Amino acid sequence: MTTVWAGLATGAIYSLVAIGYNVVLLASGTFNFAHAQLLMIGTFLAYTGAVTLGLPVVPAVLLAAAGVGALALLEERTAIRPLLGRSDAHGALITTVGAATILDGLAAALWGRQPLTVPSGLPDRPLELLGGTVRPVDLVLIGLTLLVGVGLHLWSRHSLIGLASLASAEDRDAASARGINVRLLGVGAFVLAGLIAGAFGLLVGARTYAVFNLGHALALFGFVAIAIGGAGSQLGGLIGGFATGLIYAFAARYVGEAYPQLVVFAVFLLILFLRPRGLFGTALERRV
Amino acid sequence: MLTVTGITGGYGDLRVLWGVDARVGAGKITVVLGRNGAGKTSLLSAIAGLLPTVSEGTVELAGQDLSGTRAHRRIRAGLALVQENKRVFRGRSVEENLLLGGYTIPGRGLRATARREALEQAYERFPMLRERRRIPAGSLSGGQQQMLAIGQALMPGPKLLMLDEPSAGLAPSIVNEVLGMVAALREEGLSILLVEQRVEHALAIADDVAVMENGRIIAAGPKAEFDDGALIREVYLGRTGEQMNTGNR
Amino acid sequence: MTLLARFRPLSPLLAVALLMAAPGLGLINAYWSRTVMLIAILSLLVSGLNVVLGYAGELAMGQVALYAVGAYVAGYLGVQFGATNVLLALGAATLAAVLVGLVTGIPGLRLGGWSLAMVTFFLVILVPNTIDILHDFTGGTLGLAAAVPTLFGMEITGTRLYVFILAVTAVWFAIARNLLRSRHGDVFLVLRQSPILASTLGVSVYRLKLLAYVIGAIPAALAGALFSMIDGFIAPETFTFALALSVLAASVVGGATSVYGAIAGAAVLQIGQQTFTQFQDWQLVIYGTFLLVAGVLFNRGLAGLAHDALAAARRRGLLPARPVSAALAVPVEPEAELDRLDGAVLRTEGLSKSFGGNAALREVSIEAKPGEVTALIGPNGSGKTTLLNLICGFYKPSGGSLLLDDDEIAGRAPYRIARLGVTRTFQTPLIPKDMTTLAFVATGRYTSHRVGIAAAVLRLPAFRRGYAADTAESLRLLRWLGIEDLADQQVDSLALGTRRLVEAARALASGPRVFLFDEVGSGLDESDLVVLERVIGAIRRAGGTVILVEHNFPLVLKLADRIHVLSQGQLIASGTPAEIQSDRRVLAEYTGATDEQAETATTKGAQ
Repeated sequence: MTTVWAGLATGAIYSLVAIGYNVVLLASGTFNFAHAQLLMIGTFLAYTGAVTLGLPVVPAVLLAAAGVGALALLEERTAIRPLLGRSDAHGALITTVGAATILDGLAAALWGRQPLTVPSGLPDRPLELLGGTVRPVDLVLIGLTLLVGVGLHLWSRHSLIGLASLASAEDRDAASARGINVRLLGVGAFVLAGLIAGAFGLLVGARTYAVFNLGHALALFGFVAIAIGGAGSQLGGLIGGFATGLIYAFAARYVGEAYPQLVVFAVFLLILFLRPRGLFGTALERRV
Repeated sequence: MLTVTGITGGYGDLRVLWGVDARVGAGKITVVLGRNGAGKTSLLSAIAGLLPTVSEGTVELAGQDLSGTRAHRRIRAGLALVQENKRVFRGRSVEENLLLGGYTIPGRGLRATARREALEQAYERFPMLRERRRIPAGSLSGGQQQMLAIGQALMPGPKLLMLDEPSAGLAPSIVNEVLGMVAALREEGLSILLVEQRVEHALAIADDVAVMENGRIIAAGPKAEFDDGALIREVYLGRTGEQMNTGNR
Repeated sequence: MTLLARFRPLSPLLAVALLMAAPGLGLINAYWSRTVMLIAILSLLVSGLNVVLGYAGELAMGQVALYAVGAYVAGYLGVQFGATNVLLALGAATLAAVLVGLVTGIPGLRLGGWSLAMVTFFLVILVPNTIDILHDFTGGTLGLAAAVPTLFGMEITGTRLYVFILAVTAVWFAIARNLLRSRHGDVFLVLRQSPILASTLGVSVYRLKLLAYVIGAIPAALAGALFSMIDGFIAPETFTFALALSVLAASVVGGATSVYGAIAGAAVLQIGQQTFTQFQDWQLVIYGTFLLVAGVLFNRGLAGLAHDALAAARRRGLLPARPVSAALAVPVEPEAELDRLDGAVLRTEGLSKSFGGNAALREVSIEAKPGEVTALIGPNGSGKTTLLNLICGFYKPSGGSLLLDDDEIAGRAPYRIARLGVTRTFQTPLIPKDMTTLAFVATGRYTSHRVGIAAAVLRLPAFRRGYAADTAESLRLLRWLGIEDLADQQVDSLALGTRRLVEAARALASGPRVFLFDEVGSGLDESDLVVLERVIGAIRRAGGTVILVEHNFPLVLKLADRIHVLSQGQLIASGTPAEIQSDRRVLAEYTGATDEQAETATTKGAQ
């Protein structure tokens, strides 16, 4: 059970990345490769807030959320906006990788290459729960991720803006013709994804440390979560993230310490091969 | 109500509209005729602010200059567009579609009073939609989807309604129903710009006519000027009736 | 002539020879010769990425992983088996690259979009892990000391190694150049821009992307093997994510859609990295900025800038203009007939298609015969385009059958149907960028008159013959259409009417059996229409099977032998033009006129 808790806690982080990908994907049709890097910056800002500035938990979380939200806005302006209306589809492929690399580099240059410990403000003593041990911070991380994931899922179906975002994912032109400002919606999605990533910086950092290349692994496992859950499905991404985390934890426990990445990679290849639309996605017929 | 002057534009380097002028009088129906590829749909897109490139021209709605603004502003200013074939959001329910149609209605959230009232009005106009409010729009029949699309467009109470081939792919009986609905909307005082291939049907409800060819307006005026039937041969059946019969292979 | 000149890359050869001789002549010192070797190696990595990114349109980040594979395979062979022969090392590295390419490419390319990027990115992340797991073979984190490389007993070190590395790099670039400057390269470009057009050309999008990806993997592994020879030591720290990013940055900076841009990009990155060591901390920021700025501003890189500068110089008369391709074939009279076409009977029997419960096409049975024009008419939304897409294989039928000369072809992949000789044009012509009209028309012959990759790479006589035949036939068709003067123009600069003609030429170039023309007359003016009528008439006389989907009723009446009228996805009438013209029901359905009005319309039309 301890393995399950560990898997769920790691999985929560992957779910967070998948959620961030999906928020942007749904509203603007862009895959933001740099989202995992936003989460990484979130952990550093949480460190700066909580340790360097010595702020209490709530202001530290707000600082990280605001900072990452602003960065996401900046990223949209520089890496996405100039490409809108361009026919070459893989422009964003390059520019968001560029943005991710800049964020990696900035983190390394500003905070150094050594991992930093981010204090969560929660007691460190592990709890006994359902036959396993789990740190309080992990429990909170799992709970809040579930809350945000399910909340976003419900919100996207039961609010006007959520509906508008689903509609513009289905057909941008038709959404514009209903008076939906699709561009603003896209910007809003970037900022929202940034705010969420920043707000979780403290909890994620408390589990993983703040380290400049954290984004790489997170980007990958977040993408595996999307592959499992199906692109554009908030609920799918949430479940996919937890599933990836569990696979990772069980592979580490039962196959060997060095193997979890390889096992996840094998699962990833298998899913792409067998269910390319994800376990929750549906196949779409191509239209000319 | 609507005055369009000198619209020139297209898709990137490919120009499809060349200095198009058009107008729709208050409470009138202007029908745009022309063969496939003449630029009718592009004209509606340009008016709605959806054509990728517009290099010249002005669009004015009820005295308000909309030139150069983006689509959502124009919809807020009182334009409504029912696009051909992209009628509804297929994955969303009928009611969600209508609510999305009312996106620009002021008021916060799905439960805003004005939005609920518009929804109620739409259901009164199309009782068939009320019965099907929870089912995905994609599973409605073609005619029902067309009604839903019109219902969506009417939600914010537009000043001008643009319809792109509302009868496309519909059975003749339903065509009459749809175009009858368009005529009824005029009686309610709505100004309408209609692109329609079924020439006779369209002429039956038109006040004014504009004829497009190769991205230009080649003739425009009150319906009476087109009443002698030459129009059908000229526009629909092709270049000239004579050629049609003397043409040899 | 220009065509032949393209086969003789003299100036690159001279440059390579000069570079090879440079250390011996004392022109460059040890520091610079090492730099040149590193640039050569990096440019191999970049060139492989260019094939995938610039031509097949997929982002592959795994060059570094393949680099590691190449290095360790070469190193292990030398250390474990004493197999130090450099050619053996390169061969083994190539084999390993192909293997890894297939294992990761097959699943990675299934979905398109980001999945290949992620699979290959995963490969990079797995490198240190895998080296550790396989430490018996790789030496783990301690690294692996490689044996001294040899060639036929001769030790390959120092200047010899320098020359060898340059030679291998030169050979690879010759291969890449020959591959990309051939029909294969043109089709890669089509593939990147329009998978639909590619399948219409008879190309399996998935397989061709896989091919490009595997080809792109090879130079990366070669680079790895070469790298293991430079230092004689392979350390896991070499194969970092930062290196993966520098490869990507070099590709974008140099221009992914170019052959030699890779060298320019690699030189900028390698020299930059060595010169500005004090900016080590900001290295990632700099790479990222390269990617961001290059991605936003000039998506064709340095090669694109050079190309534009050359074109500008030519316009201003600073450089001689590029001569127009000279006529190669015998002149063809504009009125000349086409060669005989082997038309096939295309038949649908009770063909149906529904989308999520909505029937778009119901039980449609038609037959199109060789030497006839079969027209499909009907109002918008009546199912004409659906029928066309079913015939081409873009949709799978929900019921009924589709027969080509009595062979069932329903449900086959579009590229398979295209290979059987079914070709089409599009309502909005699909015209790629960065290609001349001549090259575009010649892509029509890619699968029907195929020249193998090996022939193209080695510039074998078969390639030269094929190339000359492609060019001659394409020019002949363009001349026949009266647009020969556009042969060297960029095809995406043409006007709509000309685009339709060029599409018709592209379709004709393959010598197909069945032609599908989708709204071929829409948006055309009189003179263009006259040419198109002539084209369709000529195909018919040559024995081709023509299916015409068209709104322009007079055009249909003039051209068609048989007309089928669709409405609501059903066939409501079939007959000769005369029968259809007098069919009131058709006119009523088609114009929306009542019977009475239809009658007036027909009588007026007949006057």
